[in-house]
Amino acid sequence: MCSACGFPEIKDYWIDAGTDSAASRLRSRLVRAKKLSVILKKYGLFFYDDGVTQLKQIGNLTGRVELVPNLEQLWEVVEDLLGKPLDPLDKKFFYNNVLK
Amino acid sequence: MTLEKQRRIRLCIISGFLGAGKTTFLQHLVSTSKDEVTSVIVNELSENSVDDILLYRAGSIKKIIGGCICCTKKAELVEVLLSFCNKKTRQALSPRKRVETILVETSGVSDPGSIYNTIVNNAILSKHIIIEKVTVLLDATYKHPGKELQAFIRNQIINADEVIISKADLVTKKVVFEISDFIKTINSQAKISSSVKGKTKLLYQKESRSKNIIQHLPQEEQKYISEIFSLKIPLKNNTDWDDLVIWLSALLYCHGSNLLRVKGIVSSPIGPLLLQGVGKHIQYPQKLPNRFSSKAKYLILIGLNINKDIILESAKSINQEEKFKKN
Repeated sequence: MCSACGFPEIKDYWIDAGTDSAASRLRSRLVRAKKLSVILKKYGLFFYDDGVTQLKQIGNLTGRVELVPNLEQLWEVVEDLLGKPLDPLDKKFFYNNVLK
Repeated sequence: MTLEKQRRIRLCIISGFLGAGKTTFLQHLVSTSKDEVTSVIVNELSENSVDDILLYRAGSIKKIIGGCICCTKKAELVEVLLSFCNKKTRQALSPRKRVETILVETSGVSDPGSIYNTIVNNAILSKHIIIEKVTVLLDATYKHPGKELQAFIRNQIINADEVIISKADLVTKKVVFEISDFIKTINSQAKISSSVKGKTKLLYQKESRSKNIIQHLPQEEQKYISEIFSLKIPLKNNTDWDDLVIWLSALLYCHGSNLLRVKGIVSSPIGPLLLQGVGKHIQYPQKLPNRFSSKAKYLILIGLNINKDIILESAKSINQEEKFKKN
């Protein structure tokens, strides 16, 4: 259970399978957050993960912000914000991603 | 020749739709079986198979890949079975080493009736092999995406001697009994069990049963099955795990209803992982031994109505080395 938000930790979440310790899990989470923020910026959305609480912030430029616990729900909220599901087969999705 | 040596090889056909839990069931069967000379034939629609990695405990494994044993790879199945018969009749082999039981794991889209007919109608095979039963696994959580697919699953159930409702722990008891009642309406002769991670529990068995009626799929359904494609995405040994996760989770969210099965061997910071998923749900990946780290990595998608080229093109982006370059 996270003491800051009261959200129970998700056990055996497949996305964390590439990590084996708390430190590498956090590192992977922050790297993922950076990559996601680069991708979602192209669609006029922002993504922010502080790495401390279980929930991540996703919002659009009009100021609407939603909290999501994991990637699956992130795509659900993104569909809500964009009005259509975000298609990774779209060239814009990965094209020219430069991490600054 | 003693009577014992004349005994025919027992053969079980294990069938079920994509991701119904055939390999899990087989894994349990192989690891708990006292009979040490169990051989397994694994059939796979795609060109690479992960099932043989999971079934390392079995006595011997034969793979038939790149097609379905009920249609395109029928000849190959006959050849493999003949080689088993040949081994059986060779006098030099001690009875311990002879094959006593063969388990045939079909691909998710095969028709068990057709395999049954292949063996029964072959003059040599029918003398050496006795088909013990046709087991069909049915996913309790499966939401049937279309009428056509339901007809296809129905055809598998009609041909079954035993129907096992898998993943029974993920639904309520009421749902399991509803499915069991549904099975009884289309195949009243079948033995019905439920299973959790391969462990079965008998639900219903009719006391005496007559012989099964083997039916073939009507033409339109055959056409539907041919629309199911299998796509192999080759991955590099140093593919970024985070890129893969972002891409795959978005793909499953957007196209999950068209993707029936995801599986593959992928690299991650902690070593090679075996990734398996059914529909939108991905299982917690299994870590593979280090000897897999130098082997080829790939991802297999089985689905329908998606442009293969677009997926391959899009997958190139996760395959690029140093894609997220620092300026």
